[in-house]
Amino acid sequence: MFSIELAAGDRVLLAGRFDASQEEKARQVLRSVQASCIIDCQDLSYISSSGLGLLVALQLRLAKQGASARLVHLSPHLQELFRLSGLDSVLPID
Amino acid sequence: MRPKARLERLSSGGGILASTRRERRFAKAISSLDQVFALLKEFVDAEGLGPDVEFRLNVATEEIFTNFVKYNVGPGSEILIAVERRAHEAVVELTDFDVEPFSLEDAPPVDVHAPLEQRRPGGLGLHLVKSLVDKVSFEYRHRALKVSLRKRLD
Repeated sequence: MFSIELAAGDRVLLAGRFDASQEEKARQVLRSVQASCIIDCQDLSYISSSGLGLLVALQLRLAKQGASARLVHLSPHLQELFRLSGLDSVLPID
Repeated sequence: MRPKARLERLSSGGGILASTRRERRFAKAISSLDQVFALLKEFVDAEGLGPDVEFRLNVATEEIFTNFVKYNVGPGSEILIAVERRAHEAVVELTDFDVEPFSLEDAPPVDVHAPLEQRRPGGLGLHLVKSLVDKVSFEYRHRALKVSLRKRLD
């Protein structure tokens, strides 16, 4: 089960399993993000390259507007994925 | 539907180990991923492999499976996945039938140190696969492409 929602404080809440079957659902929500935001991964248990690609695309789009996204509450497994893919250098992790 | 399972006896250092091979066919569609993960969980739980191995096998298997679905050209409509513990490693084999020759090995490498503005979609999945498991092998025979993933069990 995967969920993505926009919350107060310019937060994007990700939860559950973010696999390739959830790509379109996530794309639609992320499309509405227009300012700097915090992507809260507190309840996110899984992500694959499709989800990582969407987050990079979001960061690229925001950067053109002078904004940025940053990630919080990543589990050790997810942190490892970001490190292995080198995305920890383009998507700040708190 | 329960996977087809068979017991094998493997020689290992003079001892005999029992190994259960599970295999199942999935519709060649992204919507099959939940069933793919269910097979992997069944295998990991039965073998007591733990969450780290499960996470790595899930990501690596998903990346190959979705690659087959998106890029393999041919009339085949099913993907076979077999999982098995062999001595000190977990093995996942994905086979896509009746497809045109295609080599995942030809995929360009990903520059994980590239700045944000130079990041491009594509290639990251295979990079993750190679990073998360210990060995990835490819075989194309009789119009079937098989990718084998091996994760050492420490």
